[in-house]
Amino acid sequence: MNCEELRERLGDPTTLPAVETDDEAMRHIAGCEPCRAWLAYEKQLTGGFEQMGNRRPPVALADRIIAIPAEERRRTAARTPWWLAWWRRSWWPAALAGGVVGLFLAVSVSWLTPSSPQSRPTLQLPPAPMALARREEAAKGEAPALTDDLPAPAAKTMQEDAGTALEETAPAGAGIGAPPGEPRASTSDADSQPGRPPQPAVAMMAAAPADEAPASTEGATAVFQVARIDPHAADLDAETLLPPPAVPLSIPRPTAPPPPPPAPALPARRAPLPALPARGAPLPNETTVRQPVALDSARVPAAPPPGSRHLRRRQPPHRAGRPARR
Amino acid sequence: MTPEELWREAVRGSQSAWENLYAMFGGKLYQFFLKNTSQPELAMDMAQGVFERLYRHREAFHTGSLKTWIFHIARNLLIDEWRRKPRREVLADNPPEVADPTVRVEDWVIQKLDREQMVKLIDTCLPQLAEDDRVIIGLIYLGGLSIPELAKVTEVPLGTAKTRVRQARLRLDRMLMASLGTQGEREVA
Repeated sequence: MNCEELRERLGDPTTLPAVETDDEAMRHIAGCEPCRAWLAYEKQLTGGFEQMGNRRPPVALADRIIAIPAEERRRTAARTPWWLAWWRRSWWPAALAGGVVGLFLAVSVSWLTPSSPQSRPTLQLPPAPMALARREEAAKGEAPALTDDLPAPAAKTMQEDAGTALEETAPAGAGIGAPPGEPRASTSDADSQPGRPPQPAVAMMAAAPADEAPASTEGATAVFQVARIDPHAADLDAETLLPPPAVPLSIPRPTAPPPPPPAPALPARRAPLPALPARGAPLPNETTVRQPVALDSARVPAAPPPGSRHLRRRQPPHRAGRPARR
Repeated sequence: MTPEELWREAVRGSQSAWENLYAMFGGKLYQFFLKNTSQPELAMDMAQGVFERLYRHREAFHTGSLKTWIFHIARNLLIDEWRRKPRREVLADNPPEVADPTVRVEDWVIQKLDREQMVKLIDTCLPQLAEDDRVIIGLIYLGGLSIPELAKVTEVPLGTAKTRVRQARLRLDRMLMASLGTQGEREVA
């Protein structure tokens, strides 16, 4: 170790204590008087600075600095809203309580919600309107013989779960949908025909017989009539009701117009492309409806006169054939 | 207990750890600011500002040397204070001439000064140094930073830090010799 290396180590006060425990450095210092003097000087200078740094600062400074954490906490608490401070203090009990409440609500909702499909109200198709019309006529006594032709089944709509009143398609006259020979409670109806048995219960719609369903689609007319509800009528038993008609109600769809003829193929020099419907041509199941469209002349730009320079400049002339190779 | 361990305890809310940190760095910070500003009130305010910044940004310190971080803040505060003052007193950039260049400072110090006199001499000479030299001497000898730590605090390479320390020490030595010579001449007279 030479003097330069030793003085570099002595220049750093943090390595000064290590020099005195280094044998190599101490051997050099023992044989080099200037380095020994330099070491003494460094020790004295470092000791002087240490003594200077160990002077006690003013007591007021200690009071101010020691009070910093409490002051900072007070400022933070003043800035923080009460609910956020409460949440920071006790977030886990609140989270636990919220979880318990949420679990209780989930169990309650799942318990109260019916899960089995049988408990849900069933909807059945209403009877065909033709049968309703016939039944209405029969009720008026114009064609009493038709009632004998009507089949027995009648639709029933039960809404037991919802607690609503029982609505039933009631027979007219001898009682369509009711078992023969079973008496019904008679009601005083002002519209009832004299000489006919009293109107039973409620008649909303009549069931269509199976053989009348196709015929009803031809006419494409539907008659819906609603009979009055007799509040004094007795409810029907569930056993007396008949199943719904086998043939569902069908509504005829209008026949689609024949598809328009395909667009005439352009005389092409190349291989003909697959035929596509012409632009603006109606689709096969689409009815062409042409309506006058009122155009706002203020918004539609006026067509430039033929042969104007503007049009010719913007739109290059269309040329059939292959583009010219460059 | 190391300063870093004390700091972790203080961040958790230990008031005693915070007081120990003040006992460890409060006096050094105050002296550092006092030697660089020569104003006790300002030095107190700035030392308090360092601790306030420490606590306010306590989540920012995770690893490294706490001492380096503290004096990094102290140096930045000092530079801000210097910039805030439009006209500050520029001390002597050039060290005073030594009466006899052949005389070595260590011989003078060893022969003529004890520890107390040395402290007085430092008190006299340090405020006369240039600002950069004062900061470096203060960080090294008052703050107790090593030269690599000084390089981190001043954000310069290690070689640059070594050069700056050497030059600052050279100017301080010449200042000490000049003052010691003046005092010795006064004593002789």
